[in-house]
Amino acid sequence: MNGFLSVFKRELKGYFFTPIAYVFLVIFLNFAGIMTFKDGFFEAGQASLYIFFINMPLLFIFLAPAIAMRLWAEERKSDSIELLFTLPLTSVQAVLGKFFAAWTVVLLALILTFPMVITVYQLGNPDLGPIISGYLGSFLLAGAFLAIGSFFSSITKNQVIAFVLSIVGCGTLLFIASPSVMFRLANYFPKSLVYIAEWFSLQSRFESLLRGVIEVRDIAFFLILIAGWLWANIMVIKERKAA
Amino acid sequence: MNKTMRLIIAIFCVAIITICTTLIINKKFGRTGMDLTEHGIYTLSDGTKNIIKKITQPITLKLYYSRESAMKGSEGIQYYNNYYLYVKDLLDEYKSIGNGKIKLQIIDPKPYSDEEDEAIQFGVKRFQISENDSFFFGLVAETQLGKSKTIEFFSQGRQQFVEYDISKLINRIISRDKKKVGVLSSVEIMAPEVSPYMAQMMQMQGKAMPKNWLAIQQLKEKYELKNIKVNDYKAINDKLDYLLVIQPKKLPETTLFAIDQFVMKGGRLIVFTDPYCLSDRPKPNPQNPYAAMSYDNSSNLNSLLEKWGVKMKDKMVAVDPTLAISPPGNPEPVLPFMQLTNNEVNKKEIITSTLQKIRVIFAGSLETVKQDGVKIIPLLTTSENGGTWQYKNPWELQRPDSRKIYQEMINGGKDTMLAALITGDLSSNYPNGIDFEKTEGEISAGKKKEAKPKKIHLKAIAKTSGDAMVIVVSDVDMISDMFAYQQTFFGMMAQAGDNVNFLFNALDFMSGSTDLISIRSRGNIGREFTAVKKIEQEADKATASEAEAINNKIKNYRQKLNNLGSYSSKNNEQLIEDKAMLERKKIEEEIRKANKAKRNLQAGKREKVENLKNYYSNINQFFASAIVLMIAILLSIYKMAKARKYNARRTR
Repeated sequence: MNGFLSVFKRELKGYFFTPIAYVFLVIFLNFAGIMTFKDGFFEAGQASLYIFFINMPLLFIFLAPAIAMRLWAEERKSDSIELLFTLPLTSVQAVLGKFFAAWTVVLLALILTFPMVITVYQLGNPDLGPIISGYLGSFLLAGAFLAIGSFFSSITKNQVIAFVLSIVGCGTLLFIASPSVMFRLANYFPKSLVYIAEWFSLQSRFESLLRGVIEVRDIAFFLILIAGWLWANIMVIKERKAA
Repeated sequence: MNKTMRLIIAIFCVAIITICTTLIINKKFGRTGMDLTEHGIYTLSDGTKNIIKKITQPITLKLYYSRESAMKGSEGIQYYNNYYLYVKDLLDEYKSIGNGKIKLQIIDPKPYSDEEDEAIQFGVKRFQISENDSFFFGLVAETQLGKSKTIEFFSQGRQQFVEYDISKLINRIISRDKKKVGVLSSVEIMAPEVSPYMAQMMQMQGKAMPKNWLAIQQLKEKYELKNIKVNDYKAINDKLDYLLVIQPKKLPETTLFAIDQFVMKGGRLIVFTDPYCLSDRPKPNPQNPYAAMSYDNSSNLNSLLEKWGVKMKDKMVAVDPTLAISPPGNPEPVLPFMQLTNNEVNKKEIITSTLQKIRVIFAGSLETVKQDGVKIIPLLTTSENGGTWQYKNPWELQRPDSRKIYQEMINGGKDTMLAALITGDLSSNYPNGIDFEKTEGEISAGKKKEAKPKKIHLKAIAKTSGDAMVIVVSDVDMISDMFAYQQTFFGMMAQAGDNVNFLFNALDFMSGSTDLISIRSRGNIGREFTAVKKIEQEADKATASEAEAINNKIKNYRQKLNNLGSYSSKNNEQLIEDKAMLERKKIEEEIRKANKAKRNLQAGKREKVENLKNYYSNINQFFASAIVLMIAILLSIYKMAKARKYNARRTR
């Protein structure tokens, strides 16, 4: 636990002692506001944050890999990874510490969107349920993207490659259920397999949460996905450590 | 095996484990979870559970969805993929509550397959999306005895009513086939039953055979109709499922009492009244040809409805300059002839949510009368520009003068209600019952004795026990052949607009038990920006007197313009042409100015709303990011100061 905490703290400090976290927060908050109002939040005249949340996948697909790309690639490039492995901590602690630090930055970003909640409460009488589940969905979605980003960051020294691979990975899981993707998949794979792929669409899981219903399978899906990618990440790190 | 290979295999195993766990959890937990919405709109309602409890024999639900075709379809079909998953989940829940009495089959009807034929046979709608592919998305409920009912297509607009639609389907398949509708009308809407012999006789005498209204003819296909004479109060009884009262003119008190008690006992009532019913014409009377002039063709049921929360205003018709249409053969729009569109039908109610175009003619204006425990839901209204027009004499309606009506119309400043749904706890108009005398002739020993009046007391139920349901419509003509149908190219009569659909939807809706209605009342709760509405209302209030002054000014100028027109037509135009032209130009200029002032008032209101939008837009874009930036700057200044201090100490 101590190992996890020290990595977590070191990583979090790393974000805030460099401009990374600030740039991320400013861009995220700015774009979240702009996109919501540009997509007709005010014109729709409905006291709901649906339009605000529906833009989250698009924002996170770029911003989450941007935070995650440095997690391991930077350590590998500057060879500080060797130093990290000399410390008395396990690969699990190192991976989890880094991941949770990045997730905390995202959490902070989501908390800082509080003016949106105040706005919607001042303009009308919203249903709190979908707002809570929307925030939970956004947090879990960002977690899944960060886990994917963290994995790709661990397999390459180059941050740009890690960034691009993460976007491709996140995009695949986000758009897998769209008809055009499914149609292409159906050309190469058996249909039953394609239908299974539908269950792994981040978009539909996320939208299901936006309705205001927290279903066990949706939450479990995000948590399993995060755990799976982090597990793979741990394996890669273990392998590098042994090398 | 080298290390990289081992790593790849390990990651592959992780992926497999992740996928399997997800699938297992999906299967195990289904839709288990927490519905955080305020009204629990995503949880199956008690109404649905009660309906499922009533199932005695197993039923099969067949969900037809063309998954394979949808994959080849456009991006727009993605919507249906998600919608399909939602419907499927919902049906899974029906199945799990059904305790084995509900079987669920998911069918993907492939082109030219037996399943496709079966789907078409059941009446599921087919959409051709390419040369070889068709798209189906419907539901069939089937009993073991082969009885089936179908939802032909899950359309986009009805997603919020899916639970209602599915429960209604199940309710229909487990309940009696044809519901009984009593039709009580002062106009001849239903032809009396004529024996074949009588029909032949009439034909020989050259008399026209009485015919049902087309709407009634269409209703007969779905319901068992019973024609009730206006004085036959005994026929209004528990055997009827609904009562349709059309043009109720001077009904006897016993009939009014029977209608009242029908509602108190939980019967569903639909009333069509009219301040001026074009379909209600006197029978030609050669001895008194002027009888038609004094014929009263208005009707209302205020004597019952007022206590239930709705009253039709006397001698008033609803008018709306923005909805006015021209009657056939008349180039000018006539104000009381209106075509209601999307905005004038209540989109939140199941009866009217799908209706697009409804024509009403001399419709009355309904007014709510506050009664405890009664809920009045407007179904059809005029637009905000609508109002009412009080006529003094029915003759004025025979040749309606739009200009005059426009000048005399009372603008309510809000929409005028044309049809309403009454629900809640209703009280009887006759809580103590009624006493009346009945004269009956007695027949004894083959001789008819003198008729003796007999005093009769009928007991009453004072209050409804469950949720009552009454629909009131202020126009009869809207369902008449003249306005609800039009002749097609092939000489057939086809529905014009949604007039008859309104009646069908109303009956359909009422066929739902209270369980079904409870499903309806849950969903679709609009959450408007109340703050924006308040600003608009305040702005309207602040400028109301100014707006009224401008409107009066415009009205006066228009009046002057009209007078000028009539003056010039009566006199020698050549002589006064110049003067009149000058005057006209001056007035037109004044009208332009007044209209501009009116637009400025509107712009002021818009500006306030726009300012509010900009305020919130800026706050949400810049407030939090400005705080973050400030913290970043302060921190960097602090760090720089610290570094300077450190460097200074080092150089010292």
